[in-house]
Amino acid sequence: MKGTYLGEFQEIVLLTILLLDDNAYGVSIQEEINDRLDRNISRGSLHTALSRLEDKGFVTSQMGEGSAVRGGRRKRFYTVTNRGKEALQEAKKHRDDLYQAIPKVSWDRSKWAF
Amino acid sequence: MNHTPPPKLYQRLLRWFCHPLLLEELEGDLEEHFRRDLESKGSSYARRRYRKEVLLLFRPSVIKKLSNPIFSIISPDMLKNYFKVAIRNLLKNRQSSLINILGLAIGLAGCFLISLFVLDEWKFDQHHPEKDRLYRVYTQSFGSSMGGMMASTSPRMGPALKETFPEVEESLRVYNIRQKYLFKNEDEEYFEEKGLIVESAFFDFFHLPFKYGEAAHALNEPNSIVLTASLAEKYFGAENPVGQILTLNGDPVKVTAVVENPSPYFHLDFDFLFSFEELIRDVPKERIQSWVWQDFYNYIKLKPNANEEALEAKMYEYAEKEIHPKTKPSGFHYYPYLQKVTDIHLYSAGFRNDIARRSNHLYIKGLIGIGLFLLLIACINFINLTTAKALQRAKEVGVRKTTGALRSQLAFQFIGEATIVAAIATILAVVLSSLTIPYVNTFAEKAMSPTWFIHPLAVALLLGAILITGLLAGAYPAFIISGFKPIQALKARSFNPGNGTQWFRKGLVVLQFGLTILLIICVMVITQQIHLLGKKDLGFEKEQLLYFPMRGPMFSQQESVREEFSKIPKVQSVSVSFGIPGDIIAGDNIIVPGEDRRKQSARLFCVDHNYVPTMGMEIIAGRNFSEEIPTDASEAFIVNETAIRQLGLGDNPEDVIGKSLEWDMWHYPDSIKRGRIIGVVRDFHYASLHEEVQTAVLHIYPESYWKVALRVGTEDMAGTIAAVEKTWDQFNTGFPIDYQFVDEGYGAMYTAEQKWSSFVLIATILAIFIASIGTYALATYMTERRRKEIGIRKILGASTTVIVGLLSRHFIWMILIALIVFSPLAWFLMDIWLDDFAYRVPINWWIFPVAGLGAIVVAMITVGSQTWRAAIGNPVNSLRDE
Repeated sequence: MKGTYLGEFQEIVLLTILLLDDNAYGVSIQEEINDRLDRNISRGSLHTALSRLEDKGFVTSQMGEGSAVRGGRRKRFYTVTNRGKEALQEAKKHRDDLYQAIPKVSWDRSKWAF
Repeated sequence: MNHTPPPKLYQRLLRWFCHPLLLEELEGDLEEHFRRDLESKGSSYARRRYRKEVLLLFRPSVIKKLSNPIFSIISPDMLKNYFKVAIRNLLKNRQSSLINILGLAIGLAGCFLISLFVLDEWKFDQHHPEKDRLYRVYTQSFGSSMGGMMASTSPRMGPALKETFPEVEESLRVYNIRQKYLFKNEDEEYFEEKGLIVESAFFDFFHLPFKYGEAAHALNEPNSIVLTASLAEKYFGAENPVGQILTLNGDPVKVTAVVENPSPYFHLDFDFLFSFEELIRDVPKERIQSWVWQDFYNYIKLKPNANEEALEAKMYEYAEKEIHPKTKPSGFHYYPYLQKVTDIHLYSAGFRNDIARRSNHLYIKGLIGIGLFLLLIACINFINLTTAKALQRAKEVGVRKTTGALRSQLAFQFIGEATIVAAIATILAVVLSSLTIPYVNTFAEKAMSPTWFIHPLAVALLLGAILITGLLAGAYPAFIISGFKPIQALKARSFNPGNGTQWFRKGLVVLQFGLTILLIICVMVITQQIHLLGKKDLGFEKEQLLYFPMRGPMFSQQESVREEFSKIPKVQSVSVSFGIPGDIIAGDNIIVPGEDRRKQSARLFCVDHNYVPTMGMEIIAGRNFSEEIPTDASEAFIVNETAIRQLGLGDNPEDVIGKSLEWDMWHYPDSIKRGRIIGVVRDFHYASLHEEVQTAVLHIYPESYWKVALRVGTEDMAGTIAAVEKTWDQFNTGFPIDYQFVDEGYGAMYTAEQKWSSFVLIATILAIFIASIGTYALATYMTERRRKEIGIRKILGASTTVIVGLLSRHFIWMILIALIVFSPLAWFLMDIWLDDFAYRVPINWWIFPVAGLGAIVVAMITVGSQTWRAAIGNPVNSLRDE
């Protein structure tokens, strides 16, 4: 199994699944990310991220109902596991720690620099 | 709701590559997305988006795992293993791996060099934009001494063709100056000899960019000259010389343009061009209109879509109707034919009077043959060695098979290994040939570059070559080994393939020996022929003979020229003449008077009394010209042996003495020189041995004397030349002396043959080397396999000689078979080559056994060392291990 490292895109996908709650499947995740973050991700890159997250045990999935818009094919719904949530917390914590550690001067200096 | 379906093709594509477990979700998602886009953004956006999404799904995590075994064998893990095993095998048998790689590399390197050479030869005249419409008119002549193909023809040919046949768009005449000019500008003063007289259409026909000046005004008037860039630089440095005056042999000439240096792939080689107007001004009008004068190179440009074969047929009729009536009184007639400009370089080998840069398509084909031989020998070697080595890997194959290796996997492994080795050898070959290219360039006077190997086409060819060699070499062991049963494979120390494989491999060795023997025979015949060319009795003594053209005041002081040069101690004899063997020889008609008064074209030598002794020629009947008999100067002829036959004057030299001949004098219109034959000289070869000796007539005619020939002693050549130069300076000609040796001229006639023979010699050495490498490896393998047998034989009392004989016997058999099979082929090929010469060596029968013996000696040296070692080994060592 791959490590528990969480890439930036994978973090966004995890957050989006949590946000969509029990309506998190391919199309909705893709749309949500594209709308909220103003990105244009493909279903392919989303698939890669989802399958990596599944490998790491951060998400699970189960097949749902089909519908006419999908030509009768079923959706696969994704839910974030507890390990996934922990990983998110941890990622946020690391990031907050880093933010806290930045001396105030650095922000100001960057202001002056540009 | 819009029911437009998503793009069918892409949907199918997705279904094809997508893993089945993922398909339902992904296809559904894509379709849902497609519907949404359809509603909000329209069908074209939706379709575009769908297509893009499908293509972006083509990634490893989505693609289905391939179940076909052909794909499973290239799984990364197995590949890693194959690679590791391959490297270990190479390193385990260092010696044989080295031999194998080196053998193939050398063979390939030879092959690469030959390919580069051949490609270079094919580049000639490909750079003219309208090359497909450009033709040279050559002729096929008939007449007792004018037979054969001529590159040059009448000055009337080009204009007449253009006038008569509508499909001819333009015509061009080129005349070779054939003499040296002394160029002078301020302090720069040199002889230049590469000059052509051309019509202005020259620049329209051939691709020649102008550096200064322009085509339209370059050659419109007499006394103008066009220089090549390098010649312009020699006399004018970096400045623009257009409009400047150069002095040529003392006369002022205006430079009207400078062309870039002509491509080395242009069949015409020149340094300067004169206007054709010059010739028209200087030559009487009747001569320019003559169908008999055969010194002009005529080119024509056909209109697009013109049919050259139809035109040739019409030209044939035209020649019979218009030309033959004019030439037949001179004893010959000819038919004009067309030759593509792009064919001139390779397909004019037999042409007389050709100034083109010529090669010979036969040589090129021979080279291609040699290249293929080398490749074949190297590949056979490679196949044999690879097979021999692979057969020893029985246990590995057995283990692989028991653990479930498929036949296709084993085949892939062996082919792959062979490909890796072939790749290493190919890289080595590229390095080897790149390193040798400079030497080949110097030797063959070419400008080939190793950078050709980086050309995409070359890279593709190399990759192809690697794959094919790998496939060929690997296929055989792959096929044999993969077919064996695991039990057999595990039990045996090595495979013992049946009779069929033995035969196959022996056949390959026979082929290899055969090709080697073929090359040895060729080398021997070619060497003999070249020896003949160099040593054949030419009918005069070409050594220690130097000559130079007279200049200015010397022409009017011929007596003192003779006297002054005779004073030099080392000069044995002096002759002033026009017509020195190996130099320019005049041709004209000679008339045999009588009831059936007839003309016969002949080589005409205008000589003085000293000519025959100075040249070292031999009078076989009658006498030489004599100073004591005054009439000799005005009414005496000497002819050669061939003339007796061709003039139809008798059978024996004695018969023709006293017979009359007549000659239409050059310098006096309508006056005829009437005389008698006073002597017969033994046939002498005034030109190269490619040409047969024709009627030659010698007579005294001071009006045409041009060159001074000196026979000099062998000692202190430098001192003699210094003395000759000093005497030259007494005449104040304003020219430096321009001397050359007769034998050097003869040597230069055969440079093509000499180069050719060196090529074949080098190829033969390579072939022998590669073949002996192969034999060596094969002998090693065979003795290795018979170690136990040898041990038992030794214990039972066999002597070393018996064992060496036993092991070497079938190599000798194979060589004998090769000799019998390949000798006729060698004979056939050499016979074709020798046909090119008017004087050729016979192919002696003893050449064949000698070549076979040579091959046996080479084989014995390589095989012997191995068998000898096996034969003297202690039998205990071979019998102990089990």
